[in-house]
Amino acid sequence: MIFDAEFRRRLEVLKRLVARALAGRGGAGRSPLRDRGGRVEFGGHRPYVPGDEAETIDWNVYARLEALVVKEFEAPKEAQLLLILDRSGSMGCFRKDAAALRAAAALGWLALAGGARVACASRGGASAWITARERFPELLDALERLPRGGAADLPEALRRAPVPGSGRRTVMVFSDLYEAEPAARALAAFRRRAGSVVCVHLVAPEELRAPDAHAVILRDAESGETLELELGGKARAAFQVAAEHFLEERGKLAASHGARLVRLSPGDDLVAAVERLVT
Amino acid sequence: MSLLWPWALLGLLAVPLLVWLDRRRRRPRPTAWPSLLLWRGVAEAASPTRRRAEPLLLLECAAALLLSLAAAGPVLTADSEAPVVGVLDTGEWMEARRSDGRSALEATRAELRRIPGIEIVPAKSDLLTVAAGLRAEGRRVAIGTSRADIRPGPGYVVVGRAAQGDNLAIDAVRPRGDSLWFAVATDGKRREVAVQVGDRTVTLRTGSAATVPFAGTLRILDRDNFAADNLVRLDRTPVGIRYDRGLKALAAAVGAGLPARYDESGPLVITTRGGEPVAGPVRGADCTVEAGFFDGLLLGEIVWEGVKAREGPGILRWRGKALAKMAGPATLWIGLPLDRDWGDASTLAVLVDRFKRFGLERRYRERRGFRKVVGDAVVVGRPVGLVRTKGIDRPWDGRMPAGEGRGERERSLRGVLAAAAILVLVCYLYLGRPVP
Repeated sequence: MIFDAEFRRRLEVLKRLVARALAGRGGAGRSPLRDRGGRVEFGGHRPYVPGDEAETIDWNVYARLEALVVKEFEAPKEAQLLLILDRSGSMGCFRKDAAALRAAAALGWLALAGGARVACASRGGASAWITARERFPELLDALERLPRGGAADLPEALRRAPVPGSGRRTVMVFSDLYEAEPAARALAAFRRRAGSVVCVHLVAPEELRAPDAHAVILRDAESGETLELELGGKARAAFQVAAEHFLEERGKLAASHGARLVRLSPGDDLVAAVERLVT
Repeated sequence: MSLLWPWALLGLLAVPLLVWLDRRRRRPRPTAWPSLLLWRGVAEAASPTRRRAEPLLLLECAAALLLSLAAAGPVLTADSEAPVVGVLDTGEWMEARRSDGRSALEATRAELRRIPGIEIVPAKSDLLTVAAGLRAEGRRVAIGTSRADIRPGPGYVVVGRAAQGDNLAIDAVRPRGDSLWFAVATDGKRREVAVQVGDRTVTLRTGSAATVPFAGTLRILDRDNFAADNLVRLDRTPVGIRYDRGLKALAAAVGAGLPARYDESGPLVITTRGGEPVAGPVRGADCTVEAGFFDGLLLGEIVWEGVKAREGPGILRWRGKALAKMAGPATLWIGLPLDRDWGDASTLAVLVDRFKRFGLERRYRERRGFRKVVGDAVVVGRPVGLVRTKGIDRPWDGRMPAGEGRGERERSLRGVLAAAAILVLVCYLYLGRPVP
């Protein structure tokens, strides 16, 4: 069970710790996911009707047009957090999927606690916007119900996501980014539709290290293709180089699309991980 | 090297089976991996590594190999330093006719010639000294013809029939200290036997004994002082039998009564094993009958020290058992001579047939030169142990083989291989034990 009682308990702890951490950085009382500044938005004019407050009369318009009109102001718009999850077959290895879900749930929890609205989506489905902290269990359900398996298709996940409203939008993508080209397209699309994009790169230590066996048969978790190898010294060195190159390239990929890349391992402490994500 | 049970080598098929099972066991199981993206370059860069064989697999294969070889009964044969002389007694009894019309002598010669390495040696050679394992120099020879003086030794040398028809025999040969005792006997009426010792000729009357320096050659001469041109038989190794029961049991088994002149205290010379022979019967478990010259019944026995006698139709059975234990060169001979009291050849044939009925043949194992009973004679020899002196047509070169001729001619490797297999298995169990 991914969102067990222990996880929920840590969410409470998480909220306090993150708030304390943010207070230390001068953002007291504010969630970074909330719309910064707290200003009301100018919403246009309407004709004066008796009873309107005089201070709302736009005297500039009266001076020009000799018409009495009042200014209208819109209420502050909610921040939006869209959680895009890669639930492909590759994420099912080394507990990356569980780590992604927990991190996404933790962030959703913080966002809801800060007054933002949250939705989640993957290649196979999406949730509606969840707007109240009390509805956090709905977010957990939605996360767990996101279809698993198959190949990652982040652009499709974005298409399935609920239509964003006005307000500052943040997209957080949780993926192992094995497929570079689709990830690049997705990041570009996210960037167009969101104010900020955070790419959470799920990487397990085990997949960056060749198995200890002398010979292995590896089966691709998504395609089912197998590869038989003898892991001598050369092979291990080559794999190490490939792994380092992979990490470097994915960092560049995210940066090239204006996304912030944060690496997350399944064994990372949840609080520390979320702190890295929100700051 | 030869194999007693070659079919046991089928066990070697276990070796490829073990290798196959090991490879199947060690084949890795597919492991799910997020993506093969990072491995594609690795597959191209990786070169096949030389796989080292697992030590446990090597031990398994070694154990299977050793056990299979051990079960196959490998036997090492070495060129014998010890001569084994197969001789053929050409006494009168060998003239007994078989059912195929051949005499026992003819049939036995034919069998002898079939054994690789056996060569028929004429009596005129120095075979006697060679077969006795004696060294030519420094020996004193005592020749006696009296049974009372006979010190029957490790065997008998019987010189076959001389031209005149008497069966002459050097009845016993035994080194004793620096002396050599020979017993010379005859089953005829001859009272004088001429024996050439070295370059001397000694004429002895039966019943007398003499000791002479041994000069290397010993031959029985016929009446005319010419070497009896006969084939020589040499019995070398004693086997133990119980005189008191064995001879009687044998006679009873063949349905023949003991001759009227049979005397238990007669000419059979009995000696305690390893001790000095004494005349007359000695009863007891440790008795060894070495001499078998008996009125009308000549039993040329091979007496093997250390084999306890058992009764039965049985002297021959004991021989069979003794054969299995013989470690040195040996010749086994049995036969029944014709004797005026026993009758003619037909009687002999009957007696021989009765021997066969008691499983004489099957009590011998044909084992690398040991032959089964052939007709009424058993000639046994190990070809590898034969003195390849010379054949009838070729003179003997006079070389004497070294040593007494004792010891193994065939060395079984089974024990060594089995011990090695056990050691391998112990190592396997130790290395393969679960490590906490």
